[in-house]
Amino acid sequence: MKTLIEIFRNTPPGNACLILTKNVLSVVYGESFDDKIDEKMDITTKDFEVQLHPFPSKIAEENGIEGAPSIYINRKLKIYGVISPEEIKGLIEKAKPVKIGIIITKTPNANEDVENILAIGEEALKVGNQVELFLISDGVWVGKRGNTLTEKRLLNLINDGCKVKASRMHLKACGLNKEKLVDGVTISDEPYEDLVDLVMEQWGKVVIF
Amino acid sequence: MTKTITLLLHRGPYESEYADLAVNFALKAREKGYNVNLWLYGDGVWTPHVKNEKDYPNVGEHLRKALKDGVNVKICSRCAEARDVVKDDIIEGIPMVGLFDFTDWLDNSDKVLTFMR
Repeated sequence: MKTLIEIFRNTPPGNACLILTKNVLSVVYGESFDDKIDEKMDITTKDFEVQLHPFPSKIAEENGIEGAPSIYINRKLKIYGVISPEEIKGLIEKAKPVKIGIIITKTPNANEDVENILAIGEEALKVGNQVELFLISDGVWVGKRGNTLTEKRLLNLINDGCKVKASRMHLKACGLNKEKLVDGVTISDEPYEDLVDLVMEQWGKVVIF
Repeated sequence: MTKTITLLLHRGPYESEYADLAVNFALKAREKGYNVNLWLYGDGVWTPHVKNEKDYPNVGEHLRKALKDGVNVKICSRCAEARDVVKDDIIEGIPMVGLFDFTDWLDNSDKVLTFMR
């Protein structure tokens, strides 16, 4: 996944803005950085996407940027002022997206647990993390098509890139099957096998509800 | 280095599916070669109280297999004492210990899953 770095600069960019831009580009290009690189253009490389935005501007306002020069990394970390390439490298590491696994074991209508956990998933996606849901035990009801509490939210999550998997053995116990599930929910034939792999190898962080 | 997972079970057998989820997860994780710790806390201490055969799913039997396979299982001694769960009543080979053992597990785990409420 590419790291998105947005640089907000005054118009026309002052000295501080130009130094910050150069520092960002030296990180993006590493050893092949050339002072002559045209830093007026947006840049896409294998690992980075760099966008230059004016400040003040609509995009700055939408993202709550309060000053320039500043950088916004992966829409997660905002830093104001000129910082060194070393500092930028550290912040890029800090802003890396986290893969968050959410295990749901409860029905959506029993209490507010499922509403709250879906909200966590939605917020985590918004700030640039990856989110996956695993529905097991009574949690498989969360995947059911037509549930007025969850269907729309689940569809939105899936559209935003969230993977949702449901345990076949628990679906079967509840009389549910593929046809009765929201589009995009996939079925795990071996839930414990899959869950152990997700928890131990795939997900950076896990929450269980 | 082999990764370690600690599971905390805070629910009793047959009152919900959590005891089965925790023990089945432990069995599968162990089978796949991970170090697995299972901490029985609160009503979770009733799980090894299931000692006899059943003609329906038997979480005690699964727990016995987990122990045999090398899952580290420990019981919170205070929770057991509060419920008068004593060594003679439960599956053999599970130490009743203080909470320090659990925090020690937490310190040394890559992942933690809690099965409660």
